[in-house]
Amino acid sequence: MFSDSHLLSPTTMTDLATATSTLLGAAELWRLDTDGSLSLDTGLYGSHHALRDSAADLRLASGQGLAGSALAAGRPRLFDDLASVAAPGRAQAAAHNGLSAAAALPRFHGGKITSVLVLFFRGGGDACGGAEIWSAGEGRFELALGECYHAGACLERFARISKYVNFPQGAGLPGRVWEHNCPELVPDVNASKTFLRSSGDGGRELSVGLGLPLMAGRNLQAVLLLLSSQTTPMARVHEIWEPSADDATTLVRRHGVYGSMPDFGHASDDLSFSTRNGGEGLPGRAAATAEPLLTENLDDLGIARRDAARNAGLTSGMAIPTVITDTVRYVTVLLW
Amino acid sequence: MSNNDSRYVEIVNLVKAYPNPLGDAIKVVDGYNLTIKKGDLVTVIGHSGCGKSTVLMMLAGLNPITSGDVVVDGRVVDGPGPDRAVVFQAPCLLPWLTSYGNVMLGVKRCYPHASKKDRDDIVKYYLNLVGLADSMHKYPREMSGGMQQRVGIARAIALKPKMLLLDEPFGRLDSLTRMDLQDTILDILDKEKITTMLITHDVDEAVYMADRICMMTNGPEARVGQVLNVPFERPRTRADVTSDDLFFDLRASLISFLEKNEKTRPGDQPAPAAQPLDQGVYEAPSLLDTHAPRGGGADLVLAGSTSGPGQGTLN
Amino acid sequence: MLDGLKTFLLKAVDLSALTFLEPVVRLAWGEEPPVQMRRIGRNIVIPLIAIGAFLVAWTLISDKIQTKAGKLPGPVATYTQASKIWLTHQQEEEKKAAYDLTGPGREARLAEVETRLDDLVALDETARQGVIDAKAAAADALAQAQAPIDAKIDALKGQIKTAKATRKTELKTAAAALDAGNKDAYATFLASMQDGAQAIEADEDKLDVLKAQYKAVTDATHDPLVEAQKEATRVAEEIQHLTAMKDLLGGRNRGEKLAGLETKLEAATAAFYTAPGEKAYNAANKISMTKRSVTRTTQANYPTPYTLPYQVLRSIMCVFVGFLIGTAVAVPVGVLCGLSPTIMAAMTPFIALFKPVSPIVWLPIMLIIVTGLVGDPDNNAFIQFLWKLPFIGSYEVNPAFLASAAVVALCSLWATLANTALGVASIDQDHINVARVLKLGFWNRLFKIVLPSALPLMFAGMRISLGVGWMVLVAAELLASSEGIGKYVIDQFNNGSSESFASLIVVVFVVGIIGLLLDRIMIVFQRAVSFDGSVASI
Repeated sequence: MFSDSHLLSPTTMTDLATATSTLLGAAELWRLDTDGSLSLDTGLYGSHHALRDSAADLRLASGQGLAGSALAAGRPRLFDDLASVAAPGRAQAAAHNGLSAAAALPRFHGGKITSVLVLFFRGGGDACGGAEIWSAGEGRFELALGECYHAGACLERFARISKYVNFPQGAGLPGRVWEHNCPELVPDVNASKTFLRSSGDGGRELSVGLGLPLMAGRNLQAVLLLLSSQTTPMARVHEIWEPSADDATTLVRRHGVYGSMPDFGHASDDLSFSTRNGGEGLPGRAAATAEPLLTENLDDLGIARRDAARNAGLTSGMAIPTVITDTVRYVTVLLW
Repeated sequence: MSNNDSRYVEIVNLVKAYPNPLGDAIKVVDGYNLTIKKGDLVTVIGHSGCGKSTVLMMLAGLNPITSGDVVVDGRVVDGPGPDRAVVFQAPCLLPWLTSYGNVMLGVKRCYPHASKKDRDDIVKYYLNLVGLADSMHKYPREMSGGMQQRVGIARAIALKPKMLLLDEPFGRLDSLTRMDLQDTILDILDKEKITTMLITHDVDEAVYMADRICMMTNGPEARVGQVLNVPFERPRTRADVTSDDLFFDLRASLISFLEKNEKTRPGDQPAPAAQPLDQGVYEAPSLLDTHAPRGGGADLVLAGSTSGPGQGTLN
Repeated sequence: MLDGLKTFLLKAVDLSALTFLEPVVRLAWGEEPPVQMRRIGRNIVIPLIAIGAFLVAWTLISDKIQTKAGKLPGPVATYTQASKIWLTHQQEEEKKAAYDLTGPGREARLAEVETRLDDLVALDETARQGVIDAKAAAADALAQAQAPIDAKIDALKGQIKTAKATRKTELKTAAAALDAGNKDAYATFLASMQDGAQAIEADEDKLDVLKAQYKAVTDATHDPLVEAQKEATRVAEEIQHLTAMKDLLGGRNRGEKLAGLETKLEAATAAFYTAPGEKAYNAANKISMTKRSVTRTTQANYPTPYTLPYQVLRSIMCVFVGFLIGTAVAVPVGVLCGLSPTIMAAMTPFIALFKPVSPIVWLPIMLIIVTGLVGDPDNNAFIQFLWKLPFIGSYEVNPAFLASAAVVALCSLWATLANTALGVASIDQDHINVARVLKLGFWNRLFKIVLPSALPLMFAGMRISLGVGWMVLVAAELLASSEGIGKYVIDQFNNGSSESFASLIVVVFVVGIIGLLLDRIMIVFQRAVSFDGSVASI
């Protein structure tokens, strides 16, 4: 069934190979300073220079801008209308670069927010995919769709029905992420039993689904779902790393989806990252600091696959650790 | 609405296991969670044999609960009682009593201090409500299946239950009678506002009747797969609902869920091979099986034990 | 209106399980005549033909079976005997009524009886004369029939005698002429001697045949004579009955007797008050004795005649008493067994052990127990109480009756018990669920759900029980000498006349028909309590 569900037809393979435009357009990590305002720590902009420039020297007070709004709310936010939220000039800059929505994910440490990770999503054109925040619904045991962004007309019906869907703990991708507090990757949502909404709900275009638990201390605050389509994947590589069963200071790959880059996937086999001494590579360092990490240095992907990454045209990497009561359980890596 | 009303019925981690002489107990239902708001009608849909009726019978208290809790209006369910009236698939009328007698049996039980005249009025009111004013003194054998089921409904509602449990009450009726009865029940519920759980395997019925649709995964170890909120206003008319585009969207969603559940039954497929794939998918051994989530029991335990909150092994 | 009647009739037919009548009703309303005719043919005509064939076969066979008590009675003889039994019964009833009759009614009846008696005297005369005439005619006819045969016999006898004499002389002459030493001649002589003996034997056989003919003619009944005798007997019996009636309406009548005693009492009272000192004792004594006679006469009833209908009623009473006792025990125990597997387990060995025990074994035990408990019926409060009851009192319940009833109960209760237990245990799970949802209490559950649901099977069991009880009863009565059909049977058996033989055959039919009726009654009950889907709805 593996090969069944993931075998992509030759045409899609070529499509994917040529598609370099990912849904994830940019990422920023905002750090909370001692004065309670947020300043940009790092950013991944690729060619979106206008956005980079608009962030320079910006300081956001609580409630200000995307990151500030999340800080004020104390919970993850997702905006599909940047103009009304973003700091002055940033919405235009984003729009200029084709970015139409953003998610702001606060990172908690010791019950307090220490940083906010902001993800920008592309819109318009051929963009097809989405980001959804699932949080406690009407029923005590159910997750309901909160703020969400569905790009493109291809998901119109999917978006309409999803409003009415609730998932109990353990059911569907959000329910499973909730149950295990564990990020989960679904390589092909239409063929998977984990992902319950699908073709019948108008999600025929979707391919990879990633569910991320958004934790506050030991409690799950929400589940972020990043949905890729075959034409515009969220990122070109999705990976989940976890501490090895033998050695807790070594991260081994738990799950990876490489789409159109099998060579890069092969290069990733048998790879591991140490978390000692400040950590090794993108996942290792993220695990060591328990903070999200953004990088444009291909060496951070591991020396063994640096060349493969360059050949595949990868430029940006992001690691999001899943921290439960100060313990890093997983590190989710997105590369594009 | 108070918190108690929004969680009027709470089903927490409900499990039904039957002993299996050859090995571990067979869990027909495992970890069933559901909350029902006061006055809501929840339809439960799933493939036959998925354990829908088992859940309902546990709610009714007619089937012992292996583990987990059912709380109705703040009280833990312990055995059957008239606060949870059941309408079975077969009308289950007592054949030696008329429809009047059948309803009176419950009325006597639930209004022990009412006068004879009052009881008589109550019975007649409810028989009237289900449209059987003219057949009060008929015996079950003199009535059609649909009429018998109406008596069953009147008997259940006359108990003034906190919760109405309908176990495929239209399953054995022809489609015209079925639609007729669906509307009768909706009319009554619009008046009486009884919290209701309706088991069905009819997709249209599930959408038309429900405030919420609870889709069940396939058994064994069945649980709630997905819940759909149905936003149509009440009172509903069939014509309005079935001409709404959303009706068809919800219907399609339901069907695709059922189809998906039918296609991939746990155990139908070989265990996933732990190998990197040319198509760029890698799965580590013994991880969450994304294809057969309910089948990989051991995987789930492992994932939980290495990743569950508060059991950290990584520092 | 007519359709209503049809529906009613069909329902009645259905309820009574007399389904063979259904096509008749339907045919009467012109419903599918060919179909109904076919059903009538199968359900009514064929059984009637079978009954006819049985009667023919019975007649033929009964003629061949000769016993000490005469021939096996055929259908006609049995029917005659049945009417005779019925007549006797009615006469006894008349007598009983006559005994109690008073006032103008008595006088009218007496006049009626006397008129009839007067008529009968003449009739009696005619009948006697008829018999005498018939006898004479029979003698004449016999003589006429005998004469030719007699003549033939005489002729044959003479012929044989002469033939023998002639033969003897012939042989003697031939013997004298024999040559000594000529063996052939000797052999020829011997052969001729044997031939002669055979010829005479053949003639003697012919004589025997004639003699048998003669005897048959002599023994043959003369129909007119039989008829005349029957008539004479009938008249004589009626005279006898009416004489008794006259007696009972007259002197032996209770009212008359009482009137006589009253007169006596008045006279005695009068005598007492005028009696001189020393005679007053005797006079007073006379008064008190007369008074006692009055009391006794007032209480005394006409002695119960033990006719077959009376015995049948008594047996039916007895079977119902036994059946009711048995049911009263079996139903509660059965319900307990059905409700609780524990009680069922406890009861099973007893049921298995006692069920096969024959009534013959139970009876002596019951007789001993009941006799022991009751002692002298005249001094037993319970028996005396029973005697005073309005209806049952007339059957004079005695220990033998109670013992028979107890045996009926003991032998019949098992079917009811087993069926009740089964009915209670096999109650529909759906109905139990209804009870559980309603949280009905024990008694409500028992009376609203369990018993109604078990009723059809319970009644099916009671139907079997009553059938068993009826079969057991006759044997029990026979052994216990309790008045009833059994007693009647043993009496008739001991009597041994051809008439009692016929009576026994009548009893066969009476017992059969009553058993059938009891079964029908129970079927009606059973169907009345049955509902759709119940096991016992036939």
